[in-house]
Amino acid sequence: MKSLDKGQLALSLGVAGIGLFFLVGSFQIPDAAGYSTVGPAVVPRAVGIALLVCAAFLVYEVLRGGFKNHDEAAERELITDWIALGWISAGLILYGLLIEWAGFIFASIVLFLCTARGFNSRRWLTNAIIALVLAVGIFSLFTYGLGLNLPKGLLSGIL
Amino acid sequence: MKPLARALGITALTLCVSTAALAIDSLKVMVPANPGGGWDSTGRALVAAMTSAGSIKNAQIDNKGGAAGTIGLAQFVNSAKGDPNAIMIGGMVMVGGIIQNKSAVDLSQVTPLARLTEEYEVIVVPASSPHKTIKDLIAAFKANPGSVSWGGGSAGGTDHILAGMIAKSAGVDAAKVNYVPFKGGGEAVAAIIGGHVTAGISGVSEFQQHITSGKMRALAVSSPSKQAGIPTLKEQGIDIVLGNWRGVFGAPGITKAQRDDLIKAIDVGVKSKAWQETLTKNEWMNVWLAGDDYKKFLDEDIKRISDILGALSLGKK
Amino acid sequence: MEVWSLLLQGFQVALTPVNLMWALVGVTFGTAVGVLPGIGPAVAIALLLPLTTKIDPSGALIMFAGIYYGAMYGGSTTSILLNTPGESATIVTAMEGNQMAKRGRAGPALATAAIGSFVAGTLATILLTLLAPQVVEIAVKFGPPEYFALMVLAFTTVSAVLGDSTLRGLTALFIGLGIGVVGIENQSGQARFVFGIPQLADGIEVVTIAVGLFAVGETLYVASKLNRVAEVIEKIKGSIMMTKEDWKRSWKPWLRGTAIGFPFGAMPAGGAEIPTFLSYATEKKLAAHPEEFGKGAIEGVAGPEAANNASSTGVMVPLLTLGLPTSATAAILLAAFQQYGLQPGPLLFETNAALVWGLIASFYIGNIMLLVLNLPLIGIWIKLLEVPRPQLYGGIVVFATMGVYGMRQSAFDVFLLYAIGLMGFLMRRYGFPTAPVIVGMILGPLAEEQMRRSLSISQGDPMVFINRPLSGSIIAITVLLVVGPWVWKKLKKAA
Repeated sequence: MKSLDKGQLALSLGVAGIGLFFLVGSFQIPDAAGYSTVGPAVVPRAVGIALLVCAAFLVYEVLRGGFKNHDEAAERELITDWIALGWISAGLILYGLLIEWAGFIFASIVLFLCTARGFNSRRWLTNAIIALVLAVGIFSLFTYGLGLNLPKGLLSGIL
Repeated sequence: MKPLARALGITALTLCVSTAALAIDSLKVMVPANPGGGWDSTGRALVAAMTSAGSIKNAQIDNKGGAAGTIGLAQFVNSAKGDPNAIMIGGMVMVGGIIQNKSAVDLSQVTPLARLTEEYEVIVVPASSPHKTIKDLIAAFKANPGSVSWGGGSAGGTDHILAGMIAKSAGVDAAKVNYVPFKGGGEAVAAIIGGHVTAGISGVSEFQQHITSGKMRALAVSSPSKQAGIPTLKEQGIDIVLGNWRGVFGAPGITKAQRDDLIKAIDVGVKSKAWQETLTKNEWMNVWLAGDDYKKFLDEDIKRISDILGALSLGKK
Repeated sequence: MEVWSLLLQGFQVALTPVNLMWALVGVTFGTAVGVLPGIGPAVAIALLLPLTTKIDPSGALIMFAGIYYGAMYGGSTTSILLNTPGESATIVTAMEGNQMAKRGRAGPALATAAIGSFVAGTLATILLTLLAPQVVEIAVKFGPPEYFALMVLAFTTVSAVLGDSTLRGLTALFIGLGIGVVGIENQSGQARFVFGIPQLADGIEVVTIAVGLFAVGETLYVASKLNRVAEVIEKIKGSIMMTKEDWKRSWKPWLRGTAIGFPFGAMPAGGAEIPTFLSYATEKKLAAHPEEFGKGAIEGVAGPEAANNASSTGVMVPLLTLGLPTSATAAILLAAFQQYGLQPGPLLFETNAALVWGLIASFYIGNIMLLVLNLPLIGIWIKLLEVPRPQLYGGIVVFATMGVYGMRQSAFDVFLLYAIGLMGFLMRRYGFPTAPVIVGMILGPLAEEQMRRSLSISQGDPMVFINRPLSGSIIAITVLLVVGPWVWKKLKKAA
C-alpha cells in the first residue's frame, strides 16, 4: 500500500475548486437566451459540472495509489529547486510591475537577469549587457520599424 | 511683473493661434483600440493631416485596445489629467461600451474637443429575398418578430442599436428583435449573401460593393439624406437617423483656453488637403462639430443610446 | 486557356525588378514579424498602410502579401526552436516541432516546415488560380449550422492530443473550455467571469495562454527540475537537412495538410487553427508510428504547417472573388486595396485584371523566395540552440513577455502570463497534457457561438443541424469517424 500522494490530492481538489468556480459563477450570468433557447450560462455550467466529475475521478485515482500512467517516482527523483522557481517568478512579477513605470528596456533587463539567475548564472554584468542589447533591439524594431510605442519609462527623455 | 508677463504671454498665444502659426511640439494621441481599426486609422490620419498642415510638429500614438475603448479611456483619464497636449480618439462605439461594460470611467470625465466623421448604416436583404422594400421587411417583422433574423456586428454595437430603434418605431418590443451578431464584417456578409439571415445591418462602406454587384438588395440607409442612391429610413416613413460618429477628446481638467487651442490645432489639420483625401478614400462623412456644441450633442447621444441599450436588455444598471 | 494567359500577364507584372524587390522586402519583413510573438501580420500591415501613399498599388500589395506569407514562416520557426508560438495557427507546430528540436532534430523540423509551407502555398495558389469562383460559391453555402457541425467534427481531433491519460487530458480540455468562456459573450453581450476587470472584457488571448503554458511553463519546469541534470536540448544530431526517410514521411502529410487547409481558409468562418488540429489528428491516425507523436514525429510538423499555409492562401479566395475579408489580415489587406480606391470582388477581376493576376503571380514568387530565404537560414537558426541555458531561457522569457505585453500593451496580461505559466508548470509536473487546453480554448467559443447563432435563426429548433443537407452530412461523417473504427473492430472480432 503506497502512501497517499498529498500533491496529487491537492491538485485534484484544485481542479474541483475550478469546477466549483465555474458552476457557481454560471448562476450569476443573466439568462439572456433570446431566441436561441441556449443562454450564455449553459456552457459555463456544463464546464463546471464536467470539471467536478473529472476531479472526482482524479481523487479516486489518487486514493487508489496515484494518477494512472504517471511516473510519480521519476518526478520525485528530480528535486524541485524552489529557489530557481522563485527567481524566475520574481522576474516576471517585477516585469509586470516595472513595465509601465520604468519602461520596457529596464523591465526586460531585470527579467533577463532574474531568469538567468534562476538557471544559476551569476555573470550579472555579461547578462546585463546581453539583455540590454536584446531589449534595445526589440524596442527599436517596434518603435522605429513599426511605429508601435513600447513604454519608455525612465528613459522618456533619452529615446 | 509676473501677471503682466502672463498677460503678455496669453496675448502672444492668442495672436499665434489666430494666425495658426503656433505648432504643438509633441502631441500625445491615445488610440483606445488595437492598430488597424476605425479609431486607429482616424487617429493616424488625423496626426498625418495635422503634421502636414503644420499645427503639430511631432506626435506619439499610443494604442491601448480592448473593451470597446474603455480600457484606453481609463488610462487616458488617469494618466493625461491636465495635459494640454494630449488627445484621445473615441466615438459612438465607446458610448455604448461604457454603458454595456458598466465602465468605472465615462466620457463626462474627459473634455470633448470635436466630432470629426460619421459613417451611416444600411439595411440590406439577400438578393433572393422576398422583401423588396423596408416596408415589406417591417411588415414581416411585425407579423412574427422572431422569424426575421437580423445579422450584424457585435451585440450592443451600432448595428444592434439600429435594429432596436427600428423595432421601437414599428411598435415592437426591442427585446423581441432576433439579432444575430457576427464577428467582423466578412462573416456577416457571407451569412447575408448565403441567405442564412433574413436581413443585414452594417456600415454603408462595408456592404456597398455587394449591393453594386447585386448580391444584396439595399432597403434603406440611416443617413439624413440619400446615399449611393439608396433611400433613407426617414423618406420611407421611419423617423430614424443614426450615424456611427468618431471624434476627439482632450484630457480631463484642461482649461477652456487650452481646449480652444487644441480645437484650433485640429481644425487646421482637418482643413488640410491630406484630411480631405482621407475622407474621400474611406468614405467618411465630414461632420465637424466642436466645443460646447459637440458636448451638447454628446450628452444627447449618450441618453439616446442608453435608452435603446436598456430596451435591448443590455447594460441595465 | 484564358487563365494561363492572364497568369502569364500577371507574372509580367510581378517579375519587374521593382516588384520583385517589394516581394523580397515583404517576405523578409514578414519573417521578422512572424518571429516576434504577439505581432502578427495583421498588425504589421496595418502599421505599414500609410506607405500606400508612396508606393504604387501592385508594389504595395505584393509587399503586403509577402508579409502575410513571411509571417507564417517566421511563426513556425519560433514554435519549433523556442516553443513560443508567435501565431495561434502555429501552436500545433510547437507540439511536435519543439520535441524534434529537443532531440537534436531542429534542422529537419524547420526544413519540413519550410518545404511543406512551400508545397502547400504553391498548390493552394494553383487551386486559387483555377477554382476560386467555384470554391467561393460552395463556401457561402456554409451557414451557422454547418459551422457548428464542423466544430463538432473538429472536437473529434481532441482525442489525438489527450496524452497518456484520458482523464487528465479531458480535465485539461475542460479547463481550456472554461478559459474560453471568460469575457463578454458575443451573442448576448453578457459579461461572463469578468468581475468588473476591463482587461477581461474581450476575453483572454489564445497566444497568451499558449505562450504561458508552453514557453513560461517550460522555463519554470526546466529551471526548477532539470537544471541540475544534463542538458535537455541536445546538440544537433545528424544532418541538419531532411534525410531520405524524412522526405518519405513528409510528402504525404504535406499534400493532406494542403487538402485540409485550403477549403478551411476559403470558408468565411473557417479559421486558421482548426485545419492545423484536423491535420495533426489525421496524421496521428494514419502514421506508421503513432507512438512517436508527442515525442517529435515529423508528420506532426509537416501536416499542420502545410495546412496552415494552405489555409492562409485559401483566405484569398473570398477576399479576391467577393471582397470578403475572413481573417484579421485579410481585413487589413482589404483596407490596403481600398486605400487605392480598389474594391476587391468580381468586378476587380474585370477592371484591374493586371493587378489581381500580378498579385496571384506574386504569391508563387513569394513562396519560392521564402523557401530560398529560409532553407539557408536553418543553419543559422539552429545555432540559437547552442546558446547556454541561462541566456537562452532568459531570451525566451523576455521574448515571450514582450509579445504578450505588446499585443494589448497591458501589464495585466503579464501577470496573467505568469499565472498561466505556473499552471503549465504544475500540469507538466503532474503529467497533464497542455495541448487540450489550447484546443478547448479555441474550439469552445467558436462552437458555442455557431450553435447559439443557428438556434437563434431557427428560433430554438435543434433539428436545424440535421435537416440541412450540408450540416447533416458533416454530422453523419463525424459519427462515422467516431463510431466506425469501433464497429469495425467488433465486426472483425465476430468474424
